[in-house]
Amino acid sequence: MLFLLIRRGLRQHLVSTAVAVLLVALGMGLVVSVWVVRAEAEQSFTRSASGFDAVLGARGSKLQLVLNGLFHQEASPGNITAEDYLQVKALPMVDRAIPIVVGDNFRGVRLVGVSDDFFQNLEYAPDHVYTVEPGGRPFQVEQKEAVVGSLAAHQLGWSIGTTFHPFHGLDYNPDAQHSEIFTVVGLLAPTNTPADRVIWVPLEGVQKLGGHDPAAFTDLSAVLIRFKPGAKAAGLMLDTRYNRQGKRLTLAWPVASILGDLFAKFSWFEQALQALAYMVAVVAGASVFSSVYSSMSARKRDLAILRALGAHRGFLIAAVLGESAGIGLLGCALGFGLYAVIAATVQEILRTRIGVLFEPWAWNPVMVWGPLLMLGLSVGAGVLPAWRAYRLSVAEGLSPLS
Amino acid sequence: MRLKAPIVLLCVLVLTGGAWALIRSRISATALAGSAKDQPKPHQAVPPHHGTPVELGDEQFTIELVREPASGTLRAYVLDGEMEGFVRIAARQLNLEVETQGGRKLLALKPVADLATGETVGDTSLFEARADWLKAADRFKGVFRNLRIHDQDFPAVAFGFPEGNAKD
Repeated sequence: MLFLLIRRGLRQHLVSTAVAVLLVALGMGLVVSVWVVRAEAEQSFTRSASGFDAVLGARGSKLQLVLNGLFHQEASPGNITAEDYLQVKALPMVDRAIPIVVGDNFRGVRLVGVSDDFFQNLEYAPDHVYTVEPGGRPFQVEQKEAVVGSLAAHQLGWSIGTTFHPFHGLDYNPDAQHSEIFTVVGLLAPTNTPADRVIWVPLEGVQKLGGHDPAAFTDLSAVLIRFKPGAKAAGLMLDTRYNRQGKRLTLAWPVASILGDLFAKFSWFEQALQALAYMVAVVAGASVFSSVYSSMSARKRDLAILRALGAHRGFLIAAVLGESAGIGLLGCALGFGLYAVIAATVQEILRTRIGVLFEPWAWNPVMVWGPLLMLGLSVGAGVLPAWRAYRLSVAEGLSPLS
Repeated sequence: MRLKAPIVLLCVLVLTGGAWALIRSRISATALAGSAKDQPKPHQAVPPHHGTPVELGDEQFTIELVREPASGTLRAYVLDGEMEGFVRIAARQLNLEVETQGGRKLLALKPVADLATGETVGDTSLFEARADWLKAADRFKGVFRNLRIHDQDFPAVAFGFPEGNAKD
């Protein structure tokens, strides 16, 4: 009986109910999106550090080194020498040191020169190593060969055997084509890291391209470093040596902290979105109030009849509050759908543009308190109409309308 | 008249909610700014290599001594008074008189060049000396003689190893 009454109330004013549900959904979707996207994006970036602890590069910004070396964004702050690489590689606390060279592209997709160590049991995540898809093989040093990341291969429509002329620079310029021809010999198995977005070639392949300065043939853009397990003080020791004592090179370490600083720079934007989400939530509450109040006013006569037939006042309160809770529940369900759409969009953008895997359904407390907040607002908005229903006089409700 | 009450309440609800949202976001922003910017940077009183700090003058400079027993090496890093920055100097050597249980010894710590830091002999903050007796010298008294750092002279700076010469 109560359920039927609630359903009838919701259907009787379908338009205002729908608007209220949509606003609750919007509020819910926004609240969950703002909190989850912020937290999960930072987590995703940190996870995508490809298993490296630090990046060594020319003197400059640590953030630029991390973005350039690990995320294949931005330009390199400068070059370092092969001796710098050999020196850091020889340090006892260093497990793996992978040199990279950037500076060329193919139609905007970055070419990254890397040593063949890259394909030798290098873990990008625990128990996951970089591998080439069956049918292909890693490139050979000194050869004009390439292994293409899975996203890059999809974007360019390349397969094994494809040949291409690289272009000079990180940005595509049709007039800056190199004469050398590279052949794709392998496709990198998907890693869900930025490694999927680039074309991997031998170090020498990039260093010795026509037009590059012969004096800088052995120069490197950066060295990606992984410390030995248990060498906890290694980062601190090298940080002191390179960053505080030294003036030539920069060690970007720890990567998670540097990425945290990047997100902190945009915290003002996050604050603005949070305020907007709260405002929408409040407006949604007001809309629920308006819908339930008008519904209750229009059904005053029905409620008076119910009272005359013996319905308890508590029953009327439950009917009104149930109506506002119904709007809240429908809005929350729709809100999760809206969040799914927003999250899928963010996921696709991060995957294709940065190569970062975003997990929208990873646990976040807002998944609980977001719906509770919207449900609480909805039920709270029904309190005054419920109070009016409670105080409804049967005589007044049954009095002639004209 | 009866319609007025809910309309007023609606307005109050929206305004209260809006104010609450703004206050909530301001509180978060203030908390964030407070944690990131406004908090004073803690004073770094720890030598970068966790060695022995030897203060020069009235905390004008510090020499951090690090002993490596395995190779019998004593390294001296020249630091600023706060022990936050490294100070490169042109000195040809640092003269250190050491008094151990085995008697008085002289150590000449030589400048060290390092590709990683870009330091060269004549422009370095790192000096080192090697001696077999250093392998076992875990405690000694020392005096730096005739130090000159950035036009400031320190004729004699005494200290104990490994405690240093900090006054407090």
